[in-house]
Amino acid sequence: MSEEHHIPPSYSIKRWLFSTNHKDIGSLYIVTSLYFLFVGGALALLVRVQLTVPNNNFIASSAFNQAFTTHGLIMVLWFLSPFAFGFANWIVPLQIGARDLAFPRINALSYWLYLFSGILLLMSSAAGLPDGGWTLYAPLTTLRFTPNLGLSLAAGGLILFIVSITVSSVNFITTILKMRAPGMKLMQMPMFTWTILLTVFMMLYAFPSLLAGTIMLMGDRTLGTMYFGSPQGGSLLWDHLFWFFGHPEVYVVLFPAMGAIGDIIPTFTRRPLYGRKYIIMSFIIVALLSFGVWGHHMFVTGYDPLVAKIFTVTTIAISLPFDIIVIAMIESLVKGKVRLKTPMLFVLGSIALFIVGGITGVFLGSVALDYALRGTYFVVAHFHYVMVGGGVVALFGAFYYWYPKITGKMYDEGLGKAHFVLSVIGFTLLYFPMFMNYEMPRRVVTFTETQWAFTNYLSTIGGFVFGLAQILMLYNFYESSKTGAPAGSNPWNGFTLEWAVPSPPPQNDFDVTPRFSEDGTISLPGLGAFANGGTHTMSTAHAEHGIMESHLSQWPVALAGAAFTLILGILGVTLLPTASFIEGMLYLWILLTGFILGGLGLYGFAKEKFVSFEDEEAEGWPFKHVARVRMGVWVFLASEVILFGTFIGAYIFIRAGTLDWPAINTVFQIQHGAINTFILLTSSFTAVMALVYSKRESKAGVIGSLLLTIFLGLWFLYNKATEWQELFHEGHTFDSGVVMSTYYITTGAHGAHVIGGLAAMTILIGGALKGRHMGEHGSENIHNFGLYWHIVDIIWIFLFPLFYLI
Amino acid sequence: MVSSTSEIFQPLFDLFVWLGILVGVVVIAIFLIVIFKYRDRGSKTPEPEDTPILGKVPEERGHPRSVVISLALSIVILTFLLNGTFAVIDTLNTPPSGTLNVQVNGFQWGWKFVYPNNYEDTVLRVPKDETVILKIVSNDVAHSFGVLEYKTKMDALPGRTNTIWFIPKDTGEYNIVCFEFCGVGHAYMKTKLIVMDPAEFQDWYSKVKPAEAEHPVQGASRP
Amino acid sequence: MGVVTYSAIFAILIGSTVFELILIGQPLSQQVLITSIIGLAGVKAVLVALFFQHLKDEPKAISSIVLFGFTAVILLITLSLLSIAALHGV
Repeated sequence: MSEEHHIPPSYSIKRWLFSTNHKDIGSLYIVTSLYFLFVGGALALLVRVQLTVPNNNFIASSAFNQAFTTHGLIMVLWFLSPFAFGFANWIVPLQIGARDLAFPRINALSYWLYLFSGILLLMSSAAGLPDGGWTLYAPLTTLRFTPNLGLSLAAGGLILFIVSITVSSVNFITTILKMRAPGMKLMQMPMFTWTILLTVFMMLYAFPSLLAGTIMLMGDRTLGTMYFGSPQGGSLLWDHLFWFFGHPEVYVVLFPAMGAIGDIIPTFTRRPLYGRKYIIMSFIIVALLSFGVWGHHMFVTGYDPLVAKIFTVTTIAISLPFDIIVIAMIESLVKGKVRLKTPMLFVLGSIALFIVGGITGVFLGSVALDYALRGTYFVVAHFHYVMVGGGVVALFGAFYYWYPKITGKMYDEGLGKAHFVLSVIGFTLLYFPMFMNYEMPRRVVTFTETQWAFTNYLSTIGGFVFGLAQILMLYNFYESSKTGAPAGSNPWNGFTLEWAVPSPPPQNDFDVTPRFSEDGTISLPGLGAFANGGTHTMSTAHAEHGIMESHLSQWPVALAGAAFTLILGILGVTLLPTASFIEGMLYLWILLTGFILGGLGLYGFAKEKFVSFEDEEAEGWPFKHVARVRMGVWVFLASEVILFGTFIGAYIFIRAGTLDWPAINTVFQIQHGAINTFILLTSSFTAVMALVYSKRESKAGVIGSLLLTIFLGLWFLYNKATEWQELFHEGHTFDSGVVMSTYYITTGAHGAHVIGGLAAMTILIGGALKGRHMGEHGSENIHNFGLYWHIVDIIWIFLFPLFYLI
Repeated sequence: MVSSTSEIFQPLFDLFVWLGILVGVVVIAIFLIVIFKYRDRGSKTPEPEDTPILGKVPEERGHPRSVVISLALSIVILTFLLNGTFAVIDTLNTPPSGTLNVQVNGFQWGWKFVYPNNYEDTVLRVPKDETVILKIVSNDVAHSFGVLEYKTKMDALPGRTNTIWFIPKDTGEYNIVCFEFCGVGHAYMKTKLIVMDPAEFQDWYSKVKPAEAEHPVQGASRP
Repeated sequence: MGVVTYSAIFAILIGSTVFELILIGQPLSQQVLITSIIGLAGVKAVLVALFFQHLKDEPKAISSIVLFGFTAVILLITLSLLSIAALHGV
């Protein structure tokens, strides 16, 4: 399939299933996330209708709980970030002068994992949508209190979603850091690209703790482990893991919007952004600090007062960089020529709403005020001002801004302005009254207090105005895509590189890679400098490099489908004890299908000859000399550090609260751990030897070393299995309490990584048999596999003493 | 003020609200003025000299002075707020030696109060002007015990004991509400705090015995 | 790096694991034991990263990406542990 270099036309189903082009993937993200916006919005309106008047009986409590929980999950995870990443997919490669992302097939895989994760979430409606609040607070979410299968399906969806986010982060980080147009310094990147870079870094570091938490929750729900059902772990453990992810997540949804603002303001004021350097520094500080403020979500959980004070200071401090950003954005308008077109209106509106959201955020940073405000509608109002006002409203502005680039057509300005006015009126009616309800508990299905009646009534009216206004946007965009006036390549007189290509851009974006010179002038070799804001006209020929990039692959969607099937199969297997024979066979069949599909997918993916764009001269400071895949692997490993760090953190947290932790060599026999340590250390040595032989171009050496490594990996797993079996015989099963929970889940996750390594080696040996992976260049694959294998070893180096020696 | 906690909350909250409104109104007003003043009036507004154009990275502009000024102003305001917070937080966290200790049990979906003499009840009766210390636990999932009018709350978590305290300053009935989502009955997990005259309370308390619970506690039930 | 370096590192890794096993038999206080055993694990991990993963030959920026993750997770562990320290007296 990769032999085809031209994407099929837009009416072809094949195009939308198999395309790996960043623009197509971007469109898929935008359309899918808009679907989720309307699902989440409909759920919100259900909630609002129920709360219109006191003592209302419009929907039952259980339906209400499902509605607000799923609303939260969808809006924060399945709408906001994917919507922003629709634009990131479209625009970031254009802004940095790359022709696609670093790993186009992985990009397609991200999208399909996202879609399938959403399907899992929505599938749960058959068994009851999740209903524990989007924060999934334990132990309400454990099997004892929420026995329905719906939450397990949703948690499975969440796991797929996080995998999608992680591989997508790796892709964007590698792209932005290594594939900038020749000469383009980091500080010369447009603001949108800057914030996407910081966003994907936050995603990379924040999501693994949620992944670890969700795996533990799944363990609790399916295997009977006791992470969250026990007093040692319980509510506080989940709170820490969740909010360590959850607070950076706020900036994850906010940053792309603020970056778009940073590009839209200069375009529509006709002046450069004021204090750009300081804005970028502020964003970096926020991104760093975002990992040290999560505790303010837990001020009334009764934890240590000193820690509460630390979090109060960090939380209030994080408002300072935002202060710099907002003031600089306002100053950017001074002495400009402010054109109040729809994108700019949304951007200005978003800044105003964000100011309110930011100020009220300071309230919630104060531990003393939290005693009163926590769990009330004040919180609801605040985070909607930030995430909807600061985030969604600005992203709508971005949508109007880039719509002409994406479709080649101009939207209807009148309808756009009407959409803006209605949105602001609806928004204010909807969320401002919630501040006045600062005593009303959130997540209640109904209330009796008459003093909250009027404000709630206003909110519901506002909700409908805001919701209906969005239909206007859809109508506008749909109609304009057919009847809109041609937009031309640069309708706004924009200055960033996406405006240098035709609208919509051709398949390969740039014929000629733009070059940045020291003084900031951008030129096109062979075509000369940009003629004062002019556009360079494109042909479909590849004047510069003559390489035809691939844009189609069927393997991403196959792999994502396999992951989806596997999750269903695994969930099915956990139902086996209560299933009938037919059902049981069905579940096993699904699981088997998942495995086969996954194996075929991996094989096909690895075997496919997929040509992606690579420019020797691309700017990649400070990673210029790190090969692209190696860079991607390293970035991925950083997320693995957090994943296993979180498992170990949960172990330490639980152990600190467990007085009767078994003495060494009682439950966990040192000999098992020690033998496996020697095995794994040796396997790291043989893996390194494979690299040595590959550089020496010794085929036999490579294959021999890899076979030896596989053998050691299998031996490790065999020992592990024996040990588990012994433990089971002694009565130490999954559900024997917190000690065994931490042991089985942590070493189980590690074991799964060993299996992953074995699969990778099998593929490598296949290649080596055909004489690949040899020499200085070919050894890169062996090197990258080694990076992964050694981190699996490093993790075990820590697990061994933690479980066996102390 | 109805309690020691609302006495602590109200002035601090007022400080935040007024400073917040001040900052918000000033910043948004400046914002709107700037938008209005520099709006595009067609040919009347000249194109600025440093207009960013395609094919050139826009010039850096902006003076550190404005960053320093806005930062300094914010730091002053935030220091005020931080001071206010730190001044009261220790008070909220360290109960004085109390005269009445009550254990609060949250469960799906209701509250149970256990007095020092093991008397159990589903409404909380306390004397006016005396320090009440609550030890809060949960029997099942996470709840949050809050007295609406008292502006205070504390999570009730399984396996952990959390403490809050207050001094009621006025007799009357107040609303106890669950502030952490806890399942289908969350909205109905309410009861009353009844503040009595101290003498009246002593009289009532001396008469109740563990066996004589006037509202026998129901086990966990699902509506 | 050559086979000699790799072999030397491998020998150190095996040796320090043996040392870990010897340590736990010694009459040391719990604190000393935990600190030294976790410390040894840290040394082993750093050796694998620097030499087997060739981190020492990569630009510092690569190490920073991994180290930031490590720092963040240490922060998570420390603050979550501190938050319950008073409750358990640890």
